[in-house]
Amino acid sequence: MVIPGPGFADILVGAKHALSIRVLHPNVLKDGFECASLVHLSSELQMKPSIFKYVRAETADHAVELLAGADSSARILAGGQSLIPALSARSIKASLLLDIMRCPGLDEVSHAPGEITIGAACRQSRIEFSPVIQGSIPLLCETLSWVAMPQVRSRGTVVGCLAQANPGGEMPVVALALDAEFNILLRGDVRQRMPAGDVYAAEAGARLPAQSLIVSASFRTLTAGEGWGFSEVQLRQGHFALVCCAATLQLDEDGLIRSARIALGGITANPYRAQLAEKALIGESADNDSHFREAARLASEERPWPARSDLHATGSFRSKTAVAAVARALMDARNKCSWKTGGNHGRS
Amino acid sequence: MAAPDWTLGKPLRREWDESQTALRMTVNGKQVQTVVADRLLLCDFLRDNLELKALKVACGEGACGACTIVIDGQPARSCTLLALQAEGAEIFTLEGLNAPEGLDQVQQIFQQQHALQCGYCTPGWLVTVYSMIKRSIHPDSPEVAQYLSGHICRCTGYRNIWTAVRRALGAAMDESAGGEK
Repeated sequence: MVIPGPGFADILVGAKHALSIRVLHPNVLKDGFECASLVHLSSELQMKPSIFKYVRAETADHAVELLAGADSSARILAGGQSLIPALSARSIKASLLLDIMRCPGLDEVSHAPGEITIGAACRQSRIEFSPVIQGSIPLLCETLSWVAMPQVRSRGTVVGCLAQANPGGEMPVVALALDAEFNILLRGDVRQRMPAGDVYAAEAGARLPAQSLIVSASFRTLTAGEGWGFSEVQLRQGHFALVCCAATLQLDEDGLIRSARIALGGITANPYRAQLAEKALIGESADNDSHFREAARLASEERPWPARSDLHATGSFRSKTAVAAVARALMDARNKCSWKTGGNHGRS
Repeated sequence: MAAPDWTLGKPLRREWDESQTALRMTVNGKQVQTVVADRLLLCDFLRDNLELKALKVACGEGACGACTIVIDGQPARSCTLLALQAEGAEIFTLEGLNAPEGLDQVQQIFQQQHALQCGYCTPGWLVTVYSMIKRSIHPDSPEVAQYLSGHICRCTGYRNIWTAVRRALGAAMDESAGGEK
C-alpha cells in the first residue's frame, strides 16, 4: 500500500514515531515506499536519534582532546535544547556527543572590571535571574526572557546559543551589541579570544576554529547612565525571532547622543552591527524621535547580506519590520539612559 | 550501595552494536539504577521503561510542552534531553507531584474551569503550574504568560486554561498566606 500523504502516515504509525516518518516523507511521496515496511522500520528503530556514543568530558581539556581524536561529526553537548531535537529529527547525525556540563569551572560566572564572563555550562535561567548580571548587564537578562520558554531556558545554555548561531536566535545579537568575546580552548592548552564580530563575520553560522571548545563568553558591562533596549518580532511568544534588535545609547550632559550601538538579527542569517546608523546618531538630540526612525531605516538598509526569506516571513517583510524593531529598541534605550549603576554594579 | 527501588517494567531494547552507559537518578523520590542506550531520550525512558505514562510525547522538539517534567526543581522538557544527561538528577513527573488519590486543588480548578478537553496536553500544563506555585509566581505577573507559552493545547483555546492557571496561583497564594498567620 502506498502512503497517500504524511498525515495518513502519522496516524498509521502513531505520534511517537512521527519524527522518523517526517524525515522519510519526501522520499515516501517520491518513491512510493510501502507503508507496512515503514511501520516495521520505525518500530524496529525504537529510538529517535540514530546511534551515537555519549561521553561525559571530565575537564574542558579532556573534551578538546576527545574532540581531536574523533571524526568530524562529533559534537559538543551542553544544554542540548537544539541539538537533541535535531538529532531526534535526524536532520543531523553525530558519531559522538561530548557532554561538557560536568566539567569543573565551566559553570562559573566571573567578573573582572567592566566585564562578566559566563561559562559554557551556565544555564539560561540561572543567568536570567542572577542579581549580579541583572545589575550590571540588564540587557542580557531582558533578552534572555525572549529566548524560547522558561521550561527550555531551565536547561539551555547562553554559550550554547552563541555557538549554535541560529538565524532566529537572540543571543548572538546581544553578543554583538555588547562586544562579547569568546574564550576558545584548542588542543594542547592553546587559548584564543575571538570577538563576536569575527565569529559572525560570514553570512551564516559561527566561524570557530576546528575541534575547539568555547569555554566561556565575556560580555561588557553597561557603563553608568548607559541606556539599553531590546525589541523582537516573533510569531508567538517563545518562537524564534523574525527580527530582533539590541541597542545601547550613551548621552552627554546636553542630551545629545555620545555613542550608540545597534545590532540586528533575524533579518539576515547572522546578526550584524549597523555601524552607519550608529554614526548617524552621534551628536543628534535624543529627544527627537525622528533621528531614531531615520537611523532605524539606515540600519535595516545597510545589511551586508540579503534579507532572509523562509516559510514564516519574506525578506521584504523582515526588512520592513526591522525598521520598527530598531526604532523601538533605540527609543527604549533612550528612555533608560537615566539608568544608574547602583554603586559598583557587580565590580567586586 | 543500596538496591534500587525500581524494577524496570520492560527490558531495554537496543541495537546490537550500540553504546550503553550506566544511569542513576531519583524519580519521584525513588532510586533508579540501570543501564541505557546512549541515544535513549529521557521521555522514552520514563514512559517505556519506568512506565510513567502521565507525560506525553507529541512534537519531540521541545515546542509543545506535553512532556514537561521537573528536573532538579525546575520545569523542563523530557523530549529534548537524553536519559544520560539526567544522571544523578532528581526528577519529578506528574505522578510524583499531584495527589496520590482523587483530585488536588489545581486539578479541581482545571476541572471547574473546563481547562481541558481531550487531556493529552494537561499533564504538561499541571507540571508547569506546580512549578509556578513552588516559585510563588503572582497570578498577575508577566511571567505567567511566559510559562504558559511553553505549552500548546489544540482543543480548548487558551482562555479557560489561562483562567484556571491564574485561579490556581491565586488559591495557592491565599493558602500560603493563611498558613503564615
